[in-house]
Amino acid sequence: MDIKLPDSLLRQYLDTPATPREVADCLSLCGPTVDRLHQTKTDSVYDIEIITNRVDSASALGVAREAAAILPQFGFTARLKNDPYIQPDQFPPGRRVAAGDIPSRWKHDSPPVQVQILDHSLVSRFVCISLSVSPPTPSPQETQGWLTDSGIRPLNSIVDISNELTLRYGQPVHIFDLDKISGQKMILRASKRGEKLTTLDGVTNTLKGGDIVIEDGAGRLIDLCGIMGGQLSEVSDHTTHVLLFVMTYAAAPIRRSSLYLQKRTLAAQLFEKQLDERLVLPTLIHGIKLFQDRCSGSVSSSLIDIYPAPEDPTTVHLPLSLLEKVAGVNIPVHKIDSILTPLGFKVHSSSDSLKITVPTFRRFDISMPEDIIEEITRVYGYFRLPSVLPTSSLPSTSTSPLLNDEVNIKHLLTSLQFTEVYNHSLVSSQLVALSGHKTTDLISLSNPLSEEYQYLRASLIPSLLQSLSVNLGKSEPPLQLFELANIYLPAEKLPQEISTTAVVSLGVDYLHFKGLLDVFFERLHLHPTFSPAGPHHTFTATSLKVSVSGQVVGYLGQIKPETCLKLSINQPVLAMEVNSALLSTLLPRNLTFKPIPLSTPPVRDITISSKKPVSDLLDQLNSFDPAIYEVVYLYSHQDKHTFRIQLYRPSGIAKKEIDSLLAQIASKIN
Amino acid sequence: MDLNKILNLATSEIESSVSLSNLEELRVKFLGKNGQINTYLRSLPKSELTTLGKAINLAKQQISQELVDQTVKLTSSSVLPSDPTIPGTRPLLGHLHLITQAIIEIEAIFSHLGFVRRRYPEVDTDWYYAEGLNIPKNHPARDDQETFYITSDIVLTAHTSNGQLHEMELMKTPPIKMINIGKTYRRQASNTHSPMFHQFEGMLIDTDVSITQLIGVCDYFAKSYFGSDRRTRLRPHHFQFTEPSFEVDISCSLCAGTGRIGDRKCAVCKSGWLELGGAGMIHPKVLENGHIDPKKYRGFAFGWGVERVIMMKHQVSDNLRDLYTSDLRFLSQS
Repeated sequence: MDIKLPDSLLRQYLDTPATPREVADCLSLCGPTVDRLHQTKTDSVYDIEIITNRVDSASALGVAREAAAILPQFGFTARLKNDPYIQPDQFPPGRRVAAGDIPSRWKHDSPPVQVQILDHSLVSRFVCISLSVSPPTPSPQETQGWLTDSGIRPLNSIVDISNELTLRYGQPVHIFDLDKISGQKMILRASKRGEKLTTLDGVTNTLKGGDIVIEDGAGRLIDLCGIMGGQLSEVSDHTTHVLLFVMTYAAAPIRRSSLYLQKRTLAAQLFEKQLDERLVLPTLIHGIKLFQDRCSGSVSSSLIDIYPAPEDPTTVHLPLSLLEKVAGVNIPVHKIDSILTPLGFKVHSSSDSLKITVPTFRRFDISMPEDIIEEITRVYGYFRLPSVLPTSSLPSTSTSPLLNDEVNIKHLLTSLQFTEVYNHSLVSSQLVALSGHKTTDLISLSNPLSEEYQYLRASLIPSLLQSLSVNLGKSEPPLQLFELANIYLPAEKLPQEISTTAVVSLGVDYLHFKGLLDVFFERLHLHPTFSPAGPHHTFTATSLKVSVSGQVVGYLGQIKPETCLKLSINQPVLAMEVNSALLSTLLPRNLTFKPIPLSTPPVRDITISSKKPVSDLLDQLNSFDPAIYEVVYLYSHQDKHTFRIQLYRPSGIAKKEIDSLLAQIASKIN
Repeated sequence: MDLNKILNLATSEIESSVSLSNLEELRVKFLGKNGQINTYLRSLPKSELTTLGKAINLAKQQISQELVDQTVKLTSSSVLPSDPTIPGTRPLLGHLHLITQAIIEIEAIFSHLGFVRRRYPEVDTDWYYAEGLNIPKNHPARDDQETFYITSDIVLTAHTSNGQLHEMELMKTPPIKMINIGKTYRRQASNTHSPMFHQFEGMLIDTDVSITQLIGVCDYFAKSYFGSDRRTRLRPHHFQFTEPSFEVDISCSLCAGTGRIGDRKCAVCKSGWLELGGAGMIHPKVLENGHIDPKKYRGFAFGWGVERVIMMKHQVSDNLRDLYTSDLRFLSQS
């Protein structure tokens, strides 16, 4: 979460000569990041990023505490003041505020309301007191400035008190109009499914059940606890009796309600991260003082403080050797002490380890030695640590050959004049339809952001067709694109992610395209065989099925023209899509070179009459006899196909032998 | 025809010849088996052979020489046009995508340091993606993840950190040194974010791993990828699966890490530094979840954006979406 903190409010808790800029820079290096420091008419305002585990620092007090520890590391004097955990003006100096520590002049016989808590697991501390107040007026300029600079609209002297306290301590506070609470009774409980509650924003919420709510004596819900007050008990211009109300709630239900009701209020964002029960009473006491100062407030009830299970301070043991191992440097104990003490830790050192008492407000994020190491090293300054290269080395380990093969395939396709594109793995239903797949056969997102990105694609071709269409009228054909990415096929639990290579060409004649792919396979040292594709969802029926070593690796040919037309492509598109993961397993890892002929081999042209595909004839010729050194296809005329054959044997080959070989070819291959 | 006439004819025809193929024809015409010299020779009575023999040989030599001379003349003449600066005919070229180039470069840098390249699922179970990384269900840290779900237990990973537990399970015993590069997905509604992007995740686990070594690796990467004058620094951050956690910054190249150019603020960086991404010392709980003893071993991990480092290095665009265009006018610049 991000907070805006006015500098003058920060300095209510911090004594330092450092300028706002210096405070911001030092905090960013060792504590919360100050994203921006900006000037308003009268103040500087810090935009601070509060990380999720440090809700204790989401306030003027919290940032001041960080600054008091961090600034001295940069040579600035700095001291935390007005620590609410220690209130010298109310109690003997140095004493911690405890339950029942309410000053005697505020003592009163009767409780403000009758309180019933039906489920104690929902609220870890419940404190309230009532006050008689004068009708609301505008708040002092200083308060209005703090609220405005923090992004909160000042309303009136009563409501502003609760917001100011939240900014000061990060502890949300509620103020109810006591006279509007029927029967002076409050029942705190979990909501039931279907109950309705109208909040301050005027919205009537239908609850799912399990939300923390307060019911008054008339059975009406008056508070959506920890998120937003109810309209029924709202403070108005006529309010003369208020109930000042400070709590800490169970974090999970607050978060759940706030998410499903889409009320991400500041209070909800604070409560859902667990607040310190020990800060509840000091906040209330400060609230009473503000009412006295601004609203002629006088306490009109006794204090209710329900705190059934006060937490004992926790301790963490930190072996000094572990600190040095993790930090990589030696940090002396006096330095550690100067870092941890201002943060609220108590350090007891022995010769080789530290026993550290964790302040209550840090007990949720500090539980193990690593947590303490983080506190010490960050304030010490990560940026002060030296840079050392690790010397760990792996015993031999191999990576998947596919990863290298993919790079080689990409380089190869580039050299064959294809340009690489990256398309999204997520596609729309329209694009799915182009590949002829049914959306029900694909993996679908349960929470898509838009229709455009809904399904995990099972083919790269539709996206590539879209890529082609993007270029029409912009770049001159030939347009040749490729993509190498995973496709995703439904499987038992996790989808199968299959590395796939697809190429498309527009404005290229078929034999040129085929020639590029023949070279593609040749350079991979693979010998594909081709057979008719037959009915296919993307390719025309006369396209080819490509197999290597008897396994189908993909398809090659023409994309169905009706598919292209749907993307306004009215020219033939040639394409190939192959399973690169499978190809990778078929690649020969060791090559066999054939020796170069010692003399120029005799050459013969031979014409074969056959109805077979030329690729079959080529295969037959190539494997016909070891003396056939090379076969080149020349041309065809109807069923007559002419090849040029080089014949060679290291021991020499006689004219007679050539003639007999050619005769055998003529009789056996047809 | 007498010898002189043949000689004169040969000389004039050779001199006026303009192509090598024509010269070859002339060689055959005059010096070939049935060429004019041989024809002339055959027409002579035996008695004259001895007296004219020498002259005929000289004539042959002269024609041969003239053929050679003319060949040299033809082949050494300039083939350049009158203005050799005019642009040449361009071949059709293929281009490797900028993201692929970056991934190759990144893999090479980390492989120099002994990290081994891995690929782990893009679509994974909640355990590897979150729960096993110390992010329990309903934890506020899940707010920042902006995750696409397939089912409540299967997600499109928003980070490559799901590879951490997979790698621990694969290797079983440290040392472990991996660089996992892959596609990641984020549910983000913005004109400058793409729902898909790429991350690279480094992880090192061994007996003596310290923050200073993480700094060493960050520095090595920054200097190798961005330039030897660049520096890195760590700042505090929070991730559930690391403790301590860091944000890694790289010094800005434009203002050399000062945040100022002359008397003006640097327009590119935040006060001299640019955010690279997150890193941290692996949380003991995560090691435990990967069946590695946290009392014996420690490690660090980092996960950074491929597109982010591309945009930090090249002047390409401030908008990540631009990297995903199919427009060849863009792609052919890479």
